[in-house]
Formats: sequence, C-alpha cells, structure tokens
Amino acid sequence: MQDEKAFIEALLNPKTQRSAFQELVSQYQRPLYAHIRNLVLNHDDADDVLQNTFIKVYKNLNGFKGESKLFSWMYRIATNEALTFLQQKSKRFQTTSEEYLQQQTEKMQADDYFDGDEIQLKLQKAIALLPEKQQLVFKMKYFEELKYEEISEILGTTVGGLKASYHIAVKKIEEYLSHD
Amino acid sequence: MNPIDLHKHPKIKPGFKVPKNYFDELESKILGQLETEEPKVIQLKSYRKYWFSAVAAVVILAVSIPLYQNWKINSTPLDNESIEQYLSYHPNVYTEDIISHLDDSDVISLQKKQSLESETIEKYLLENEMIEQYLID
Repeated sequence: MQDEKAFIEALLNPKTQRSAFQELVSQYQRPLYAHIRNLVLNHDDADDVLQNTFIKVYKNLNGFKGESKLFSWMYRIATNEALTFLQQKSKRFQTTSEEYLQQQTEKMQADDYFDGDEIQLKLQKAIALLPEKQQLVFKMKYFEELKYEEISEILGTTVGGLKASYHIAVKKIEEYLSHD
Repeated sequence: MNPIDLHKHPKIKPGFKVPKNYFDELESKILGQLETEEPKVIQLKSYRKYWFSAVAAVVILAVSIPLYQNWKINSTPLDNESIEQYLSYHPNVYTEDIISHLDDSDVISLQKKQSLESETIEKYLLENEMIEQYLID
C-alpha cells in the first residue's frame, strides 16, 4: 500500500469501505494465510481461521485507531484467532496446544497439502516441541522473515524478549536436527 | 549426524501447499460471508409509526376509562332507599339543609304521604319543648 493513510481513510469511509476492503483482502490474503498456516499447520484449519480473521477485520474497522500499522493490526488479529483456535482444538482433545501441534506434525506425511522433504518434516517436528511462545517467534522470524520490531508490534513484546526467545528456539531446533 | 547451523544451512521452507485456485476463490468467499452476516437495515420510520399508534392507544384508554366510570356513576338514578340510607349514615347533613332544598310541590307531596294523626302530633309537641319557640318564630 503506497499511501496507507489514504487507504485507511477509504476503509473507514462507508462509501468506499467495501471496495477498499476488497483490495485489502487481495493484498493480504497470501501473507496472512502463510502466517496462519504456519501456526495451525493444517490447510482446512488455516482456511477457517483466515476467513474469520478477515471478517473480524471488517467488523472492527471502525475501531482501528491508526496507532499501529494496518499490517501489524491485521497480523495481531490473525495471531489471536489462530491461537484461540488452537486452544479450542486442544481443549476438545483434552490436551495442550503444544501436544495438539505435535500430533498434527505426526499426520503431516499423510497430508495432501504438505509436500515437504525429510528435513522440512524434521524441522516442523522440532518446532512443535518448543513452548508456544518460542514456536510463534521462531515461525515469524525464520519462515516469515519479519523484523523484530514488526513482531514486537504484533505481539506486544519487547524486542529484547523476542531476541532471547528466538535464540533459545534456534538452539533447541539445531540440537534436535543434529542429533535425532 | 553433523551439527546444523540454521543460519548457514540453506533456508528450510515450511513445505506447505495450497489447493489450486484457493486464492482466486477466497476473496469472493469472504465478501459473500459479509453479505450474509450483515444485518438487514429496518427503517426506523416504521417503528416510529408503531410507537405513535401505541402511545395514542394508551392515552385514549387512560382518558376514556375514568370518563366512562364517571359517566356510569352519574347516569345511575338513585332510588329513595339509597338516599335515606345515605342520610342516616351522614349525621352532618342537617334537617335544615334538606328543607332548604324543598320547594312547594315537595311540601305538598310530603303532606299527602305523611298523614300524621293528631294524637301523634300532640305527643311530639309535649316531648319537644323547643318546638314552641319554633312555632312562635
């Protein structure tokens, strides 16, 4: 988006809201899908969460104060939706969200929408063993290549804390990949 | 196995695939959901019309019920028995008050109805000394 301020105004104006929202979906559907898919792992779940995210974004447009970037605001909604989804799923299976994701990685080889090789599958299994926050930070930094400042704005955590979480996560993953 | 340094190792991608045409259809799917979720706008005007009617009905009832009750009370003719009963239970209504409302025709009518015997009159006059003064007056 070249001129974010003008675009936000178009999103808030009832006359232009619909067409601006259409453009928003078109611009953000791929990066948001990738973000959500990294968190929930399964395509069907990612599809549900992504649609809910966009619906929530549309319903809350009037509540967007412009204090953060539109990108950060949408990523925050997507992250919250994905984490809530994982909590609900794990609650249904009477387990933790980490254990639920570990179970999901075990099913990955049979998933039609996963075509990763051995190292990719191993990396997914290594990530699933991390605590939820370290998983989140690692995925956003390593896969999505977001800057620490951007992650900080999305998650509301300090850059220092994020760096520490990422460093620990990388060490654990490298250890898992080297030995198992 | 050799130690792996994630930042020196070629980038490992997540390995996820997306169904064909997924993103082409997603936009219309989301916009379609918005249309079904958006509440229908019902004009306030029609609500206002109902409100006016309801308020008018309440006002009419509030005014007409006491009016009807009042009319019902006034339109019921009082029988003599009720009047007598009322007077006997209300000692503050004096005989003078009643007399002041009587006209000639009422007096004639009373005379006809109340044919007192002379013995009764004499007895009454003997018992009520004050009557002499009244007669003089």
